[in-house]
Parts: sequence; C-alpha cells; structure tokens
Amino acid sequence: MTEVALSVRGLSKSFSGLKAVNNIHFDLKKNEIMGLIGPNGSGKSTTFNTITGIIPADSGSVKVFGEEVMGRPPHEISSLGLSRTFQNTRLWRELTVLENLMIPPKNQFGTSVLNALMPWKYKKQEGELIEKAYTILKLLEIEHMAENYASELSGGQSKLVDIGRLLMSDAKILMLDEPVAGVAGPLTEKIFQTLKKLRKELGLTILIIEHNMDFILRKGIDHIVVMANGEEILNGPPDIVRQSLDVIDAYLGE
Amino acid sequence: MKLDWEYYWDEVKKRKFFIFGFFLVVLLPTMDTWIFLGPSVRTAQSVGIMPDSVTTSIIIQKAAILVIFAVSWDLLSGYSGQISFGHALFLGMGGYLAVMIREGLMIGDQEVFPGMEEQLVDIGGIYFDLSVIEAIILASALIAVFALVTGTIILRLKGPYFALVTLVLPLIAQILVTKIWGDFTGGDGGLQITSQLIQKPPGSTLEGLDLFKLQIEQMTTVILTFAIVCVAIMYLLARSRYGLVLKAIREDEQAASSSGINVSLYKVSVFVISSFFASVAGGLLAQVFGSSTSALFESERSFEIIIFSILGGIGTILGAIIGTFVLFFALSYYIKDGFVDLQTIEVLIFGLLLIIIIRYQPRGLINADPQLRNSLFFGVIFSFLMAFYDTGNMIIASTWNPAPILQKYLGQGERGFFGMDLFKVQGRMVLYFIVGTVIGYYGPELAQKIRLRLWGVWPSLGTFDPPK
Repeated sequence: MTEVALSVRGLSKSFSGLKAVNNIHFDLKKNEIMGLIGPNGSGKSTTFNTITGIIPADSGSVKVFGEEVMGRPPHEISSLGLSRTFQNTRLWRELTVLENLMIPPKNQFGTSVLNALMPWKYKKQEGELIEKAYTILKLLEIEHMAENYASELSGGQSKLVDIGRLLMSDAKILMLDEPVAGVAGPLTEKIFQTLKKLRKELGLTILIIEHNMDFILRKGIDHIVVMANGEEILNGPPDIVRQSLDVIDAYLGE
Repeated sequence: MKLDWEYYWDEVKKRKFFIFGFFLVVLLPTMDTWIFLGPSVRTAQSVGIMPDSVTTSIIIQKAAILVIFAVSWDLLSGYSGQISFGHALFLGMGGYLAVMIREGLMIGDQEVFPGMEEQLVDIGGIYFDLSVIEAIILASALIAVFALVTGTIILRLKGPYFALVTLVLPLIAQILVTKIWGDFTGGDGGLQITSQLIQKPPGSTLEGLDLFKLQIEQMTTVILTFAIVCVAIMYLLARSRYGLVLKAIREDEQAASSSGINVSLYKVSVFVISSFFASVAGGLLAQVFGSSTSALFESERSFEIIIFSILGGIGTILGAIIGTFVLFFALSYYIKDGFVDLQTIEVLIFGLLLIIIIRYQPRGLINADPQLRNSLFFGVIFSFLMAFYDTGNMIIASTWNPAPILQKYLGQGERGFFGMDLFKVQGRMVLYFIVGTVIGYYGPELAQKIRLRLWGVWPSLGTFDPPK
C-alpha cells in the first residue's frame, strides 16, 4: 500500500452559522494527482485555507505525512513540505519576479540575522538558487520578466510566477488553487504536462482546485473529490465523476 | 542579484561633480586646519562666506545620529511594513539608560547602581572615555531585551492598531520620566552628563576655544564612525535574504506565512534590531546635548525621521540616509536661521513638504525619475552655496526678488531666504527654492547652463531636457 501524504478527516468550518466546509474526508496518496471541484461557493478554497492553517478549522483532523497539523501556524505546516497557491494570486508586488522566487526555498543561510552580516557565506547558495529560479522561469516562459516588479505582470503571468514560487519551495505536496484560470490555452497544457513530469521525477503529490472541467477530467488525474454547499458529494476516479448525475446536478442545478 | 560594479561605477562617475560638491559643501568648513585648503577656508569663514567649523561639526554630528535613527526606523517600517509613529521611545530610553548606566543610579539616598569607572583610551589621536561607549552599547542591549518583550505583545496588532500603540508609548514614557519617576530621572531638567566622551589629551597645551574646537571635531569623528558602522550593519541586513523576507512580509503576510516564513519571529527580530540602533542613536544624542531630557521622547523626533525617510525613499537604506542629510542640512542652515521669530517653522515646512512628496513622488528622492532626482540634487547643492553669501541675487540679476518682502513679514535671520529665487529667462518663469528647501529646479536650458557652469558642475549634467 502506498503511503498517504495528506489525510483529511471530518474537517468542518462554519462562518457565523453558514457551514462552509462540512465533514470532509479524503486521503491523498503519495505521488497522486487529485482534483477538488465544485461550483462557486462550495467550500473548495475554505478547505484549502483550513488545511494550510490560514483559517483555523472548527473540528476535524489533518495529517501531513502522518503528522497531525491541526491548529499549527501556516509556516510550520509549510515546513512539513506542503505549499499552496492562492486563488487571487498573492505575489509580493513590490518585489521583482526573481525575488519572488527567491523567498520560498527552505534553509537559506542568509535569512538568519547573523549570517546576513556575512555575504560571502550565502553567496554560493544564492547563486545556485538564482540558477534554479531561471530554469523554472524558462519552463514557464516568463524568463524575460525576471527583473520586472510583480505588480507589472498580467493576471496570467502572475499565476505562472505563483506556480514558479511553488516549484522553488521543494514542497512534497503542491496545493494549487485554480492554477490555470486566466492562462492562455497552449500554456495551460504545458503547465499540466510539467506538473505530471514533476510528479514522476520528484515524486510530488498534487492537489488541484479547478473550475475548468475539461482541465480536471482529462487523463492523468487519479481521483476527484466533488464538493457542493460545503459537503463532499462524490469521491472517485474521473470516469465515475463524468457519468455522475449528482455532479451534473450540482453544476447545473436541479 | 548579481552586482554589476561597472554599472555603479559609471553611475558614480556621471555624478562625480555632484558627489564632490556634496562633500565640499558638507565637509569643507571642517577642513580649516588642513595643509593646503586651510588658509582659504579660514579666510572664507572670517568674512562670513562659510559657516565656521564648530557649527558645521555640530550639524554633522546631529545629522549622523539622525541617520542612524532614521535608518533604524526604515528597517522596521520601510522594510517589514510595521509602521511605527513612536520610534522616539527607543531614542529616549537609550538616552536615559546610557546616562544612568555610566553615571550610576541613586534613588533618594540609596545607591542602586554605582556607575562605571572611567577608562581613558587613545585611538588615532582621539583621547576618549571608553566607558561612555560601553554604557551606550550596554543600554542599547538592555533596551533590545525590553523590545523583545514588548514586541512579542504589540506586534500581534496589525496596521493602524500597531501604529496607534507606538504613537502612545512615547507619550507614556514622557510622563513617566517627568512626573512619576522624577526622583531618579531628574524630572523636567533631565539627567545631566558629568563625564564627557571626549577628554582633554594629557600634556595638551590647548585652552578655551581651541580645546573646545578640537573636542567638537573629535566628537564628530567618533559619531561618524558610529554612524558608518551602524548603518553598514543595517545595510547588510537589508540587502540580504533577511531584508528580502522582511519585504515579503510587508507585501503579503499570509503569502509569506504559507511560504514557510515564521512571520512573527521576523517581525519581533526586526523590532529588536531596530530598537537597538535607535537606542544607540539616543545615547549619542544625549552626549551631544550634554543631558538626557524628556525632549528625546517628543513625537516631533519620531515624525522628523519619518519625513526624512519618506523624502529620501521609504524602504531603502540609501533613501533614509540621503533624506536625512538633505533635510537636516536644509533645516539647520536655512530654516532655523531664516525664521528666528517662528521657532517651530520646521514642522510647518516639513508637513507641507511631506504632502508634496507623497502626492508627486511617493517613492521618494532615491526612486524619483532621474531628471527630477538630478535637479533636486543640484538644487540642494546650489542652495547650500547660495546660503554662504549674504545677498539673494549674487549670481544672476533677478528680475524680481521676493526675499526682502518675505523677510519683512516673516522675520529676518542671518542667512534667511537666500535659496529663493524667481526670475524670467527666455520668457519662461523659473522657480526654485523656497527657504532652502527645494521644491523644484525646472528651468530653461540657458539658466541651467549658467548656474551649473558657475559651480563647476556643468560637465556632469549631460543632456538636459527641461520639462515643457
């Protein structure tokens, strides 16, 4: 049996009476790509926020590689190897694209106060990271924007930088909140292929929120969780989801 | 982030006349004992063209201390985005605590702390009391510990709430030292310094004014050394990954947090570092003033450096340095002299300037477009040099000189209003400075050439395209 990377049990969160997320269960096995879909307001993003610790959950349990993370601050959860993007891309706007990519890598020498005073100590590591950042930017076809401020990017480009930031972070589990909304068609395909390639090479586990059914139902996604009104209505492989009447109901209404 | 030294060197070379001019204006008056320059500097001073070296030295001392203070504020508020309106809290605490540690502390008849022994040392011809410096550093370390405790509590507050708390803290401190703890803080009079930092060298024959002058100049050297070391440390911090993480926290805390950054740890650490250097500035300022008074806690002190940093460019160390030097010199050379009758004129002028800067150059002088930046730099130098003369129209015959009229209504000082000039060239109106504070230096090419050639800085101007 393969190792479970992310295990969510009975996760619930309500905002002043409204049950945004109600008793969600799922297991994300290592090296698997899972989709989380549902109509607007079905609680997909809130699920993400509660898993990553941005919003404290009311009840339930979240385990990252077998370690309970419920109630821990976001940076600790992130240090276990779980990184995410936000639905409305949240780049550091007054930093350049390259600088945006330089923040997420873990264990950088220069981030501690004492080492910061000794530039010669972190120079080498920094050089390696810059090279890595350029490789990623090349992959995402935004190499020419490296020195621009993040605030100068278009919406689609911001999404790409956000994904690049994720790839820089050496995370084991990537959580992507609508990664291709607003990205041009061919590049969408490329991003998807890249993610699949990375999964194979680095053994990544990926969780994607997506509106775009075409994107999510294509081959390569291992299983899908469908949410509606905070409830989990279906959990299964894409073929079953495609044929399910519940899903069609949820999307199109009664 | 590869450093392209050739690029920077080119930038420096392009501005060599400006840089030379800046040092000339700032440091020339203190060179009256140099071998070649000395005699001409002394002549200029004796006829009143140049301020005397003691005045200049004191201004440089204060400016250098304010640079430490402004940069420490910029590291906290400009980099990590935790806007503090009461950074003077640490300035005042540093001032009081450094004096207390050096001089000892008595409550009533009871001795709490005996004070430090005098340790005279001689480094590079400067004969000074090392224990004063040790006291300043020890006091700053203690205040850093205090900041660690308070920071952990108040940095949980965000945005305006944090700002509000920082605004209130120095007011509380001011009441504490003047009214409640008057027994050992000296009340309104403050704590007097009895042990001087700079001592008379043994076997020196200097007396009176000459000795005073020597000590002032040595004090300047010590303070400039302090400023260079402190600013260098903060500059390295700001330029490293650490500074970048701070910027990321400023831009988006949640995104930083989910990228694995321990946001509260960084915020507290920068608060501690910033308070340490602000306290160093406080300790030095107490040495310059000769006492620690509750004036160190004044909110004017906090706002002053905020304006300096914003003018120079918030979120850049260099901006804070340039802003502080430019504005403090403008303040000391002109504004205070120009308006002797209006003691708090600087608040008015800085306030107006702040509004103009935030409206038209929110990113500050250092990030301004090169055209404006150059004109501001030249404008400042030009206004300094203008100030050394006693008439308002010494170079170009003004068609209309408003200085006498303004002097009539606002009071007259020794060097008032000389930076102000309004005249017509080639049918276009040229307006440049108002009381030494530059508001613009837009003019047709001809006027530009005349002026710049006069100051020997013409070749550095390059192409000039006046805004239409």
